[in-house]
Amino acid sequence: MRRLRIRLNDQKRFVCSAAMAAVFVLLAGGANGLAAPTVWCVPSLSVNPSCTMAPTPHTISKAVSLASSGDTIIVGPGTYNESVTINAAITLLGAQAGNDARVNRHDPAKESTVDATGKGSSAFYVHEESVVIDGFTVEGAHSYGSPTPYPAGIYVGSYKYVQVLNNILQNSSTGVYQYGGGQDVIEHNLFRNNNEGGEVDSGYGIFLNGVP
Amino acid sequence: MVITENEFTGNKAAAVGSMNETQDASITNNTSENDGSFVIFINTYWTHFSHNHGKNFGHTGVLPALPGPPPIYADAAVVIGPGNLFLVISDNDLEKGEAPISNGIAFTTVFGTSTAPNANWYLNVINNKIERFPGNGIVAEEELVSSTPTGTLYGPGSFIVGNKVSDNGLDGIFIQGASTYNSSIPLDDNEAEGNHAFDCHDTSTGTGTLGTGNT
Repeated sequence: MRRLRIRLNDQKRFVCSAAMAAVFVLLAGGANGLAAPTVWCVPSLSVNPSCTMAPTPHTISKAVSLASSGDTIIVGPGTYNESVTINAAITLLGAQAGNDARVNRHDPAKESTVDATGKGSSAFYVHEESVVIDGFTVEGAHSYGSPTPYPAGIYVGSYKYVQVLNNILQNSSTGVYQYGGGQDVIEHNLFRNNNEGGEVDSGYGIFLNGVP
Repeated sequence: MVITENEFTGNKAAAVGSMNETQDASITNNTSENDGSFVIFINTYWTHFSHNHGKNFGHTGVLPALPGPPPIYADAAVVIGPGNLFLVISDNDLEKGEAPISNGIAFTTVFGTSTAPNANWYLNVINNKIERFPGNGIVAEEELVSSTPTGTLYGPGSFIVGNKVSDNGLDGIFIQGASTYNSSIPLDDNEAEGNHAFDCHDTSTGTGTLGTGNT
């Protein structure tokens, strides 16, 4: 018997992995007799065949504000100048979801980049348990004149079971700042040149502050 | 808290800082290159730092580990400040630092001395490979490590076992101490060679330090 080998390019791999994730979420909801979770897509429905809703305006923040716990948000390649506050147990999938950030992540055009430059806050501000952030480039979060404490690429408050996977975290004050929480997973990320705050609260890839 | 299989580069304070009663962190199989320090522990409990690989610490400059004032800079690739309990540092490869990252693994006093209630108890440094630092491979600075705490019910104390330290600018392993704080730390099965001053250097006083000598 001949073995059929299928090779996927990056875009197809992203679509495939995101679609599988969405199907899994839908099946899980159906098995429990619950309403199917929504798959939100940014910037448009064309990002992925699994998309069921697209927010207006076409921002990650808007999608997050509309999402409920259990929902998935799929973000296509591009640069998003935002500071995203997450208040629900959602899964955010960037264009490189599932792809180890340490390997062959050299093309910025294939990245979903969340750039917090000028926002004075973290790029992702996690305020709920069981949030997943997978496959993004995160940058530009720093502390100059910030109204919020310890801006970081990803700031995790006192919430458990958060997963930070396959992200490039660069050029912020700190890559991931974890305050409290616990039982979280940080895996397959690249932390690069997080020194943007100068000598104040800066210079760490990951900073764990009182994590039980 | 699990931190595993990440790559760190160019973060000028440290790849990872763990402070203020952080507990149960497992930091394994990560790489660090051109960071300030690899990791800084201050006041942590039940932490494992194992099977990590790092090199060229301080090579692209450093930022303070603590902003101060005054700002405090780290002095090692793996930094153990005061107040750590049950910390295991094992099976890591650490290669080459540049000032001020002078040491491979340091039980350091730069963040304050570790007297009770902030003593370091039950610290195990096992099977690490450390080479080419301008200072010491492993150093227990004065009055920081106590392996015989009183009034506790916890298990055996601190020890430094099975490490390979070579080609460092000062000592391979240096147990410093004009007091008894750094005494009674078992050193066993370590291999040291090519270090500029002593391969093993013990100035601690008191009884019970096993197998140390200035060779």
